[in-house]
Amino acid sequence: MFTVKGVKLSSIVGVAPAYTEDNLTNPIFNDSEDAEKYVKTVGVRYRRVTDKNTCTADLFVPAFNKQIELLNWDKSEVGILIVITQTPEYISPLQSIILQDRLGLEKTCLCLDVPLGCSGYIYGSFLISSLMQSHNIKKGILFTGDTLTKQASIKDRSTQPLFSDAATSTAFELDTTASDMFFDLGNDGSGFENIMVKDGGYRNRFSEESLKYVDKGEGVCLRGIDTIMIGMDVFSFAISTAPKTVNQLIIQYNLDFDSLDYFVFHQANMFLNEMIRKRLKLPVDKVPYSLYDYGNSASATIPITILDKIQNEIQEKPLKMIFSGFGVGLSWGAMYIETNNVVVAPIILV
Amino acid sequence: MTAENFIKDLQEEVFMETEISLITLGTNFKDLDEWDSLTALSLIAHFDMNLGKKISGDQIKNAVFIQDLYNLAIA
Repeated sequence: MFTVKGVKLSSIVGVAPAYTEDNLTNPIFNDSEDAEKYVKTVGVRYRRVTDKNTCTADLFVPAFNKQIELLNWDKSEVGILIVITQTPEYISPLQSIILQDRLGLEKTCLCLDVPLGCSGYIYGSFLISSLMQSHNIKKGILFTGDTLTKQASIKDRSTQPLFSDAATSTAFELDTTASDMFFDLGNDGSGFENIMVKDGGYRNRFSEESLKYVDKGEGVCLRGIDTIMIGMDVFSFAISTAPKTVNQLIIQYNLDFDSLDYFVFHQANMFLNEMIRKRLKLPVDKVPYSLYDYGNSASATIPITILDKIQNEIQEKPLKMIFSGFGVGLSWGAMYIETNNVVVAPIILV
Repeated sequence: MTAENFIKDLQEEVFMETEISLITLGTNFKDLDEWDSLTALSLIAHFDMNLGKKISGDQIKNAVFIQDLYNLAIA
């Protein structure tokens, strides 16, 4: 459990590809009945798909430019840039450093990459706000997002219809009047094989073998460079861990459950998320979803859901919220935040 | 927990569209019309939430009969 004082979430901007693919006509399904059942239970109708030349970094740039314009910030004021992505342009060097130059940030801007997935928005918010607080960094930018469609095998029913692309930029600034943020964070490396990309690192170097499709059964056929997801084990992990981390936060900080306006969860899939919502006994109207139009885009889903579903409210009035993310690692976290007139814009489609 | 209670709960929580008379300890549950990847997830959720047991994907893969599930439930 961690508390961060005096840091305000000032703005959220999101970018997604304008090009969508419709799961109702997705050839991965046996027939239209099969497709309709998937959309109904998993909740994803449209997936946002980047073309092969567009990287996550290319989505961060317009998000940042829009944000700076809305906030009327001078780029030289940005003292820290944290990039949370599993789909950087290169294995080396860091995406954040490449972006420092591309965005026109100062050479003294502290740049860090954190290759987390679905829990990334929580970890990213924790890291940037605590570094800003402890070192008196006045303004910071957190990028979270992925082009996950590039990591999904076109022959894998567990990932291809689910994964989507999106990127977001969240601005933080020191503000003595800001309410405290609370965090509960955890991880369990014993489940590292439950969601992973096996090839391309230094255990299994990228080779010709990495491009060969292997049939794993049950509608899963993938290459070494694709994400493998052991759906049942991930599900089992998430239905118990997500409610637990949220409950721990509420109990530890004695939060008034009824005063909370929204619970924004990582958009894993509707079936799983609804199970989590019911377990926490949360009313439907306090738990927004963006799965239908935006799918699962890893660390981007929490800010994308805010922009898709509660954009006007977060802009116009103070809100008390809990965010929670869980997934690859395994890694999870929950945070409590009180926002006040967050500067937002409609999701930018590129 | 008796086998009878286990089956009753299983029908109510997981195999909701299957006649209870079709569910016995000797039933191969993967042959039931209702069995698919989603039923498997419901099974995991039922074990976790109502029986307080974590079951893995492999345990479900290896199970064939309702008896196997019952064994996991009382283990």
